Amino acid sequence: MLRRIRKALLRLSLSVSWRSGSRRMAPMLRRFAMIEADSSWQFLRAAEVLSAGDSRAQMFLHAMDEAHQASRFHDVAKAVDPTSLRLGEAKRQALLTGPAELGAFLALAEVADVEKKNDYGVYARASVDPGATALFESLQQEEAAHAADTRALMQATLGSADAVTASLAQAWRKRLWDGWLRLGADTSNIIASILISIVFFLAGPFFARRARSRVAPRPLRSPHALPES
Amino acid sequence: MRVLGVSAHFHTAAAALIDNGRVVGAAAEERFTRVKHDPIFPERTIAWLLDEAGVRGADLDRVVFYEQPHVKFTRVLASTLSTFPRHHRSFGSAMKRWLGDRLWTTNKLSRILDVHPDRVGVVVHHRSHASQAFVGSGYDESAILTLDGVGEWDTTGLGHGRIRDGALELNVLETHRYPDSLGLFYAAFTTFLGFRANSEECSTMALATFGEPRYAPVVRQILKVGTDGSYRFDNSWFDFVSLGQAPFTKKLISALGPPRTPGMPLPFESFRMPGAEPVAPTEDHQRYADIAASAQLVLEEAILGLAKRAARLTGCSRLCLSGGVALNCVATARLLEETPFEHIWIPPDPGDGGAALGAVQHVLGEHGQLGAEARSIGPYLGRSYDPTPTLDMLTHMGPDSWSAYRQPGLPPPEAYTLSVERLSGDEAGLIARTVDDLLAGRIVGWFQGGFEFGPRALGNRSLLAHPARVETALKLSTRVKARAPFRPYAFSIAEAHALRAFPQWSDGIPAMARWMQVVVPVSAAVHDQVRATLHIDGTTRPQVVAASDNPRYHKLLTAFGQQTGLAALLNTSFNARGEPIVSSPDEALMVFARTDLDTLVLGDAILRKVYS
Repeated sequence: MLRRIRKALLRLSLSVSWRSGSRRMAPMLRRFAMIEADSSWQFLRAAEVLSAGDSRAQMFLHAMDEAHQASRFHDVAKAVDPTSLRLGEAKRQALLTGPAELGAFLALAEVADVEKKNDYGVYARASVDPGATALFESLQQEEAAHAADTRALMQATLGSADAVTASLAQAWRKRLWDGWLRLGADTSNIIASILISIVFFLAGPFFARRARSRVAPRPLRSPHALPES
Repeated sequence: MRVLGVSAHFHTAAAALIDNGRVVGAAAEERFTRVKHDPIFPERTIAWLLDEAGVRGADLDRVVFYEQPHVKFTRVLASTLSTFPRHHRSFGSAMKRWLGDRLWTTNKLSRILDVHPDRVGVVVHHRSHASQAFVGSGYDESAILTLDGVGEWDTTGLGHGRIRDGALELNVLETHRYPDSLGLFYAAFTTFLGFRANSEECSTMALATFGEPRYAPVVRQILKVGTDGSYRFDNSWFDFVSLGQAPFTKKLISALGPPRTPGMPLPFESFRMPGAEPVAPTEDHQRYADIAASAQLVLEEAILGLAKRAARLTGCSRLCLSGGVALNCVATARLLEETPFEHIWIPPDPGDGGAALGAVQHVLGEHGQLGAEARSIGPYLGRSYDPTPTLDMLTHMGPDSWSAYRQPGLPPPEAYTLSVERLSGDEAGLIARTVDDLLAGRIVGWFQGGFEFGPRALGNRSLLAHPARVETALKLSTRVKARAPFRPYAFSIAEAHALRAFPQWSDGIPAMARWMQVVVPVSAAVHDQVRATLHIDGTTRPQVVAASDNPRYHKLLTAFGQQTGLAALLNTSFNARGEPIVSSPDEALMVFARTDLDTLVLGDAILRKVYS
């Protein structure tokens, strides 16, 4: 139910924001590149904490795939709008800090892959640029494959089907909780912006002159008068 | 005394730790987060440093932040309010950042590290830079110039330093204050030219070589360099509050024409295949190059004026430089030629990242505890890794599994298999095989020891190639680094051969040449041997390597020289496009797998693509 509402809202907002032309898509494509680059970083960190060569190799290949997807998003963003610059990057927060957390990490990765697969389908339909549409469609399939691979690895790591189900449930709960926190942060951000703007427009006129004098260029601060060279 | 220094929140956050005179390490956070110039609080670097020293946060005697957040906040407040009501958005985002986090940095350090607040302190931004510039030089006395964007309020500092019995006497004689900033001036022109401020100033510098400074009269109205060596800035041309977007006013556009659109291709090439026809630049392309040349020239004039002023004020024959502007190696080259200073020293990381180490040195200097190691800082201060797990992983995967993840935009690769040779205990064999690869025109990723502190790859995280082979350099630009063709490469050269390339240094090789900090003309006698590393004006930014600097890299250079007659190698940073220099073996392997890098030397092992 929640997922359907989310999809509908996403579709609606994309139909409005992307309608005015493909250049409007560039920031969103850059953001996806950031998300994929962050996933790559997560998997590289995961590889580093694993000693077994085979699971480490799987993590490494997954990291490489995510990096590849990030590059593809960057390239399509550049094609859509050559003037768009890279955005600031997401804050890194390692999801795996020790081998014991591997199961939980993989569950989170699978949940993210499933969500990306669903979202990319919506983006593919809303896209107004053929290159971006093709990319979203291709990545939708790749994310489905990722989710399947991750599930297989999770089963091998956790052993029982019950443990997999429990981990996935926990990952979905975490995802929801993180979403709730993000919503809270975004809301408080908007409220803070409004309050700061009010303060700015009410108090600003009284301090602007003083501020101007503080930032006005001043002569060199030096007790040393030097003759001209 | 155990002191941790931290810099963060502007660009390139970093941390450094000195433990009872021993430099435990120093690194930029970007090497751990893989976000270029990451300004985030450097918690991963701090964790690594504590782990490396085998201590907990609570065991630290002092923790020091590289600037005064409260004073800096007043400048941010004043600069956004001064243009009321124009910058209400900048004001809003700045207040959220500062009130939510940055203003409480020292509290955060205390909390995260579990250190009593009394043991957490701050050092004035330009004193951090000055300490970083002077203390590591090993000089007992020197003039000091800090050339920066902006710290709290000060942008440029001129001072004098002396060390007696391990105690630092640092006297800041005069300062220029915001907005009179050389760093912001150059960053604003960098944005005007379509590059990213605080990141791609090197592109402005490289582009300048293709232009004539015909806009210098206009630029001199913006940055007025006095005959006494001071300078004044006319801020009616710029709007530094919006540095990230369009930090210039209509006045600048009407004088210089429209700014370059980011991403617009530039047809200039620092080198090309013999016989290849150059692409003629359009009028607009040439205008951008001319603007870059003009900004570069006026910046150089300002720096020269300041240095001459410093010489007259201090009477010193030695100069230490720091601040991000000190990375402008074309400008610093002129200091050697045109000022009275006989010796000039720039730390391996003169920017804000290095200021974390400077803050530590400042605290030690206050306590009279500057020992020999803290006074002789080299660049190899980053984390080292054991490549064994990465090599073991290769038994479970290979080219078949990674071929699908090749960097997009590259032409299809030649088919290849992977050969892995482990040569533990056979350094001579490792070097001989690497030399063979370089002679065969292969591009080699060279990964050894701890990574470099600072922006330069100096033989521990380097991409190496034959310096005479232009086709290899072109392959490196297009199929590994995705690098703009107007940006030149540089070379490393063994000390014993340096005078053949740089006969002008017969009286002594300058310290700045040790870490690629100066651009100089190369003797025409060796041009053919280093053709791929020369800029169009026949200059390069060399790294002169002594055996004591980096023994294994020196051996590699020497062995290459025995085959070619000149112990020099093209050396550029080991990274893929848009990424920081690689830190770990896995990251190095990823670049190897996704690009046309031919050989990867990981510690004592050689990975080679064997083309069919």
